[in-house]
Amino acid sequence: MLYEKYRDEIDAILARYPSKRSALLPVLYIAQDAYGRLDDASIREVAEILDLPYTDVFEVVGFYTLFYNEDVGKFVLDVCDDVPCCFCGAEELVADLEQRLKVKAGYTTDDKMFTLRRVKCIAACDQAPVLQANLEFHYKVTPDKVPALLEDLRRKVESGAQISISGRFAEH
Amino acid sequence: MPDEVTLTIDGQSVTVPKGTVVVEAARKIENLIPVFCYHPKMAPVGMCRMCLVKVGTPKVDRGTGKVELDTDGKPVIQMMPRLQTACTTPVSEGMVVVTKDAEVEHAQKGVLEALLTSHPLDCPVCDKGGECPLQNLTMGWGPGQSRFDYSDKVHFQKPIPLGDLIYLDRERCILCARCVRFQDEIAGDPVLGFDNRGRSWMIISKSDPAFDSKFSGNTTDICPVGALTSADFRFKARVWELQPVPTVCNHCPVGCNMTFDMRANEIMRVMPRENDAVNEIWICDRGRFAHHFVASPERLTTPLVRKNGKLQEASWEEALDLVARQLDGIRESAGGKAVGGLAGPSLANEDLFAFQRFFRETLGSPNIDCRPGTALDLPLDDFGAEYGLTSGTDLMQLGKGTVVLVFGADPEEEAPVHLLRIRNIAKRGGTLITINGRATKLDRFAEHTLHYRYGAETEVLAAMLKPLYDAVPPEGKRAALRGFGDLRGVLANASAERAVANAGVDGPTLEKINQALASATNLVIFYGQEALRAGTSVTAGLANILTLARKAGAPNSGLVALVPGANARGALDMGVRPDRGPGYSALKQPGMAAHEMFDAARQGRMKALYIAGLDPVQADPTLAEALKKVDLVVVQELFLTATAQLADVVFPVLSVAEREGTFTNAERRVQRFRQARRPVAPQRPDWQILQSLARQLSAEAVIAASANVSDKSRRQARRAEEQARKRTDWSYASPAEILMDIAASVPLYKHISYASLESALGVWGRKPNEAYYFDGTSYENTGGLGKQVPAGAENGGTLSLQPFNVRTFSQPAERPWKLIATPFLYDDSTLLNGSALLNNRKARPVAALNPADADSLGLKDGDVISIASGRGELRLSVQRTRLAPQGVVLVPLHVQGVPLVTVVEAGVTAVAIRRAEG
Amino acid sequence: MPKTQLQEHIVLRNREIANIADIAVYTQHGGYETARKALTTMSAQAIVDEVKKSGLRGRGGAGFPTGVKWGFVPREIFPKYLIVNADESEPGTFNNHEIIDHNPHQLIEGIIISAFAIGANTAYIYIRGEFAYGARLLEQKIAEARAKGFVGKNVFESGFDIEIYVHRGAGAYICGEETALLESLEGKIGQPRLKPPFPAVAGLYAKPTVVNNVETLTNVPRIIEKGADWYRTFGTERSPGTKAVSISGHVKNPGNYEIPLGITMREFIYDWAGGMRDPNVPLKFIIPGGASSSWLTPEHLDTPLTWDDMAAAGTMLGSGAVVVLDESVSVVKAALRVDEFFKHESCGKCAPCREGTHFLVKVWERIDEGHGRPDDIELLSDVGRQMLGKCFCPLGDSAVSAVNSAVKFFRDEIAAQIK
Ligand SMILES: Cc1cc2nc3c(=O)[nH]c(=O)nc-3n(C[C@H](O)[C@H](O)[C@H](O)COP(=O)(O)O)c2cc1C
Ligand code: SF4
Ligand code: FES
Repeated sequence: MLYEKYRDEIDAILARYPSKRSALLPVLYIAQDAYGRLDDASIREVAEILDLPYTDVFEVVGFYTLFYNEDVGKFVLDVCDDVPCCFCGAEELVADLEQRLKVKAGYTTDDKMFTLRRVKCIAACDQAPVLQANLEFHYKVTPDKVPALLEDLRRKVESGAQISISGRFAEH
Repeated sequence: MPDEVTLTIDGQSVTVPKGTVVVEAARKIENLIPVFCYHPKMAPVGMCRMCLVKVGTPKVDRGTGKVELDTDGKPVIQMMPRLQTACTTPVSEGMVVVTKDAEVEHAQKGVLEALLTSHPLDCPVCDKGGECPLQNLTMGWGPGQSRFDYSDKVHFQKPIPLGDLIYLDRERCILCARCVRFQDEIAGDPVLGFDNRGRSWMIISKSDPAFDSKFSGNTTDICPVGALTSADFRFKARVWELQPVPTVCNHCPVGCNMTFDMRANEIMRVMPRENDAVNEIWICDRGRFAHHFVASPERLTTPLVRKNGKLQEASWEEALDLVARQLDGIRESAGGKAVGGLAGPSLANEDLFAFQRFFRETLGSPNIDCRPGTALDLPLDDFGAEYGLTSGTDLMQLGKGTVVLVFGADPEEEAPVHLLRIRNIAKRGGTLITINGRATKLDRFAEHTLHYRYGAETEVLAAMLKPLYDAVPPEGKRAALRGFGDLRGVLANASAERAVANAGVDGPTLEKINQALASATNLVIFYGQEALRAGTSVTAGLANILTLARKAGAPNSGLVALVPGANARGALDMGVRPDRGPGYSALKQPGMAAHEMFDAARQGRMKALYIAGLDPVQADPTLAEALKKVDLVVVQELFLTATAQLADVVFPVLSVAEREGTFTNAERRVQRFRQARRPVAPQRPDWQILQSLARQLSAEAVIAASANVSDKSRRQARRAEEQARKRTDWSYASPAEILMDIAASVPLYKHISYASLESALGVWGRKPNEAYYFDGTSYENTGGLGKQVPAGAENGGTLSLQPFNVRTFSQPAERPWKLIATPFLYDDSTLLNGSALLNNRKARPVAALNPADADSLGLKDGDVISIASGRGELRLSVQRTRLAPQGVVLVPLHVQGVPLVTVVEAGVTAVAIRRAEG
Repeated sequence: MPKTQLQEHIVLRNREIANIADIAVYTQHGGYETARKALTTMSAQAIVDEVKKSGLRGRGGAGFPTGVKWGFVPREIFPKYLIVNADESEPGTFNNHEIIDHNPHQLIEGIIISAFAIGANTAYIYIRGEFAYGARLLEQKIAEARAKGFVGKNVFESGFDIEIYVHRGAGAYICGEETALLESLEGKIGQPRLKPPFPAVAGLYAKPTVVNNVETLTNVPRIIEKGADWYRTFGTERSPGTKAVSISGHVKNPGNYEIPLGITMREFIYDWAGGMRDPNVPLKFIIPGGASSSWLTPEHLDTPLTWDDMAAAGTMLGSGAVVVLDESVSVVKAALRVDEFFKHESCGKCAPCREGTHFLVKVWERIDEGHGRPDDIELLSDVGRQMLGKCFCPLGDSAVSAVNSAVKFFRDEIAAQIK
């Protein structure tokens, strides 16, 4: 089904490489968006599209942090807590989000809207504290800005806008 | 020597071939550098970092390009700033290696400590205990104690089944990736991998079924810890209690060297025995796990004699006496020709030789065969001996310059370990060509692959023969090839274009294949059951390719026929066939082939049938009717098979584990197996039963001599009788004596004796049987490497081209499909009795159809179809698979519930397919 | 002579020219003319020679001379590949991020010229998965360039074909290591390969491959346009040119600055980045070249920012990422965070890194939580010794930098925390 639905996009990806296997990461991103996560069935489907042994594809999904083989919310909120962010407000931001979303980092809110994660450096250290929402950057997210940000994201979901947990349509 | 390099390791000088890595160089001088991820059979990866050593090289002056010398005139050695992994560092001239000093030890301790931080240390309950590289290396190189006292060792659910056969204990895994690399690099089944990363990295298998590989058991051997264990051996014994006994696998024509690891007279496990010329250090899962027939409670234990219509237990004396008397009577009344004998390809050479002697000498019957006598019987293969691999050919040594052609064979199913070995030749630079009617796993490793239309095999062969034929120079050479002229006409119209049109093969690929054949230094041709079934022109065509490529009898070349059965080649060599005697000797008068014997039986012309190690009735239940018309049916068997159930007398025999003997493998290597187990019941080896009977019966020659009294003087007559008696004497005390007799009477086996099979040279460039504990389990070979018998073509006489014809297969319009009988490793053969672990892997009774064909017939998976040929009809449920070529229905051989014999015809069977109603 | 500004930017030209990401703006300012000139009037060898002469050193961390690396590529094996390393994941580093988002055409032009120089007809930009926007933007920018005939077949009618594709990673720092990157680009897990063979000989799909950092390649158009001699007017003899350096942490004006190589750390922090965030809280230490680098303390402030001077000071210029931390920072916490990073990113392939990073984190953690043991400092150092130089790739070594730096400069503080 995935191939039928995204034939043009997948074919375009395949055309870039002399080896089908190279298309694995991009095709997994498509599958992840299409199915909301990479469960076993979708991983096997991708393997079949690319003629790869199942195990090889599971291996790749397991290795990279941007492939989610567990349930995630509509938005994955990644807060950088690395040096230097952790000394520039990241801890406060995580604490604030945990309190507001009523989940610990690493978990998904009950309404399946947000998954909160601590992540390592995302190359925006001068803008700390910083987070990515579905891989879109939000800079200088001091706790006072959090309510508006969350509201914004919720509204986006309600408005039916295109949501990509893989960041395929990321704007900034 | 330019190809050798001399270096110094811990002050000791050693010379090794260029390209050798430091670990191997050190090993040569018994300096054992500890390793975990390194394995001599696989490409080095340098992951575990256990083998770190100090390495220095002579300092070269930049200006002059010369080695700088110190005041003593010795080269100045420049040590590398970091320790190097000895497993990945190739040696170089003048290199200096330090494997033992404080810095190296510190690093080694560090690595071991690191590995042990996440290891559960549950050695007392670990199956690897006692042969565990981690234990051993910790003893030798580990830190005295761990500074890591956290209780957060990695914990996982304990044992996770990876499929039916292998259990994974993730906690024990040290992530050396040997198993994953084995599956990728050697087995070619990339079914193992890793999930996550970092400290959460862990082995997974997501194939369907999990760990879907016929070689999975090997990973338990090379695993340097107890992370992978076999479902068969788990918790069965401590390894130090085991007594390994050398044996040879009795399941397929590869003849892998193995051991039965015994405890208290029971086989606890089967392990590979190192023999680079046969199986390196690998065995397939059938060889490893299908040993349970030996200890099966279903085994026959005493002779059975039919009384009042029922088989009842009897003493050996009674049963032997009965058979001897009856055979004597039949011989008297109807002549020896009224007796037929079938002896299967799993019997030892010694049994088979005795069998044909018993028939030809004692009974005076020419009617013997090694086939069951069903419509599925394969033609008897002579070419595999006449043009067999020349003696001394070691597939392990072949690579660049060698062309391997695999025709009409699926080695993965027919001879699994050959798949690994063929693939390795390709890896070493050889050219692998696969030509088949359907896709096989070996195609993945082939440089050139052709898929022909079934029935058009000879079209392809003609197109391959043509250029070779034309290239034979006229001067003298042509005359030296008997049959050269006969081929001219046959090949007159042959061309690549014709093959493309008639066989549907790819023209450019065919062209490349022909080029490869023409320029091969060595040529090895494998053919299997599909080639054999396609008719003798196919195998003759392959033999002719070898001959025309001038590789017949040439070193490192020859044909390998994958005839099913561990000793199929032995059966043919021993002359268990109606048309030739031992060593393919000509016979004055040929006897009946198996199927002719059953025909004769049906017509009441066959008075007795003697069947050893074959189960014709299981293969074709209609043969039961024929058997019922035979006065005396004698069966020698392990089990009460369908055939045995119909016998008048059944003799229980010893299995391969309980006796001595030899098998001859497809490469015509004669190999010896030993007695591992004391018999638990009064069964006897096949040969002994025959000897007992022979002793009770006078030989036919003796009778003849004594019958001629009238013509000659009494004295003359007595002398003749005396001589005949001596000549036909049976006094074998052991199979070794039979082998001596074989060596004396079968020229090919001239140099074969039990002693000659015992030599165990070192392999992997190391000393014989060095049990380096870090290779994984020990693969010690104390049983010998066996010995190859020469091919007929090695005699140097005039070479003959074999009669070859191009056959075009035309199909009646009402039967537009082709039925192909496909062999599977896991079928329902007797030798899989009792090995329940393999049940889930067995071939299923289904008809495989290409999805496109299934669609055209409107068939879903599981729909039942009727497959009708000119002979009969068969019903099976459908399995849609891309492995089936279009227009073809694949039906498994030797699978219960698949009465293939009712439909198959010679060559390709044309069938009609329709949905079965109801 | 403290400089507060560079007269002319080489890579961060977006700082001078508004909207240079716009192809019209870029071409107005001479964009793609250098590529045209290079492809139509220069030989590949001449370009390699010019880059060699410029002394341009790789900006990805190791500082290997770019022209020399290009010279390793065997001419006669085809195809060849150019890989742009846009995986920028070293903690503290964000200069590639700015180039990609704000000066993409100069990068693309650099790719075209460099691909031509090494004879590659295909270039892949391997961009870290988190730069989702950057990846999209680059695809758009490549499309713009293609529309103008700068990318694709027979570009500039030079007879040279160049395809540029963007390949998004998916979250793994190790994929910045060039061989792990190639594995990842081949659709596998990103674990480093055994070397040799080096990528220049057998890289992507076992073909000759050059891997260069984004910033490295962004330098190329200007070097070819204005010549190696001009380029050498910036920087020092052995570290010529400018470098986009990211500065973050407790400074007044964190961000990217394109500096001429050779200014001192003091100048950079105080004159360029505005000094400490809170002048009352003094500087405690600097992580000067990304999390992998060994730390510096105020006594090193006069170290010039060049490859050699940084090495002499026991650290490295690395990816050009200066993290400045003031006295409010706990050394143990900082070291813990750094090693948590490496533990998180350890690929798992080799034992000392996989287990060692975990070990280090565990010990830092217990010290941080007040359960340190008297021998812990020795323990950390010894485990560090067992890792340093013994891992499969440099990642494992990197985890030891924090240990050694913390112990070297702040032993007392750690010891105090243990008691
Ligand atoms: C663990 C590790 C991570 C690395 N990450 C990056 C990276 O994110 N970006 C980069 O350009 N180089 C990175 N490198 C360096 C690359 O391996 C390689 O040297 C570089 O891309 C070469 O480009 P250059 O010569 O232009 O510097 C990393 C190296 C290591 C060992
Ligand atoms: S040092 Fe070893 S485990 Fe760590 S990232 Fe490199 S290869 Fe992987
Ligand atoms: S690194 Fe050499 S044996 Fe593992």
